[in-house]
Amino acid sequence: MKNKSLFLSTFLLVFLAELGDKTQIASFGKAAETGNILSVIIGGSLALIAATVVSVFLGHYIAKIIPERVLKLISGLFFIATGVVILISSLAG
Amino acid sequence: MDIGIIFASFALVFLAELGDKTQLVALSLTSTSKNPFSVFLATSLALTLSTIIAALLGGLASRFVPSFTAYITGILFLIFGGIIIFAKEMPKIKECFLEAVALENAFIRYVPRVFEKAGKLDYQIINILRQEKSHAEVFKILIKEKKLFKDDINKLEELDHITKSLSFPKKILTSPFPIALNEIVRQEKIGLEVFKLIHKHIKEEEHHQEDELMHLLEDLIHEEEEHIRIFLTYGNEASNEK
Repeated sequence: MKNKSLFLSTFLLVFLAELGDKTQIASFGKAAETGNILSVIIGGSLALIAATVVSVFLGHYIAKIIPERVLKLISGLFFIATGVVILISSLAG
Repeated sequence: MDIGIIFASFALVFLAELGDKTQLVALSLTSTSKNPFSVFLATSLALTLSTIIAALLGGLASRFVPSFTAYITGILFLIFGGIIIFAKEMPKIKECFLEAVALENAFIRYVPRVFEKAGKLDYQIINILRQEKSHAEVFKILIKEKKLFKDDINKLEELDHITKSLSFPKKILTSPFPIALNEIVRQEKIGLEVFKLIHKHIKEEEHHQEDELMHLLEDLIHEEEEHIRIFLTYGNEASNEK
């Protein structure tokens, strides 16, 4: 139950954050440039999964050195700052 | 398929993604939650899906992303930030009680089927199940009353250990009877440990004025001990039959 909601909320957040983001635009570009959609999907997806593996391992490791309370504060502030930046830039655009 | 394009897309996207917000999202969610695997799975799926969309629609897609998605994304980030900073962790004892309720419910569901399959469902077992049902109710009331939620029992390391072992594997339905019975006895013993731990804690600390709960716990401990004894007699029968 708890895992399911973590899964769903992470999925939604990442998916929405990625729409129109530079990585997606990079994939658009490659697909348009080469016309080889399947190869771009495979390459792009593998890259993103690899990047996720890197961050998940890093996050797991960081959790062992930095106290939970500090970590929560930093991540929370990161999320709020990112949210504010996204909102401001989309309101300005 | 073209290895060159796969490699080029990989390099491009991987480098673009390093230090990007999505990667930081995965990093901070992993470090603050206890389930790295869920974060990994969700993030990878979301990213794969967004890549598929990007590749399929090519350059046109950026025009199709409606502007309100940015607002939703921004608000979601704010909500996540708030949750991460302000969410209180569940008291350990509550986690234990919740697991215990789940265990008792699974017990009531599976045990009769195991015994029925072995042709050993009798009044003794029905009586045990009746009592187990009341055990689930006891845990529910403890949760409702937030009993011990702020108590120093939450600091006990034993509690973590017990909570982790509270789970009833479904596979006992397909296991041979002696193995299923072993598992049932093992779970009963863990249930007994939970009652004993709470009982010992309340008894040792004088600030707990919980005479009624004490008596109830003592009854429950006797019941669980009796259940284990009865279950074990079925094991002896099973080995005698061989």
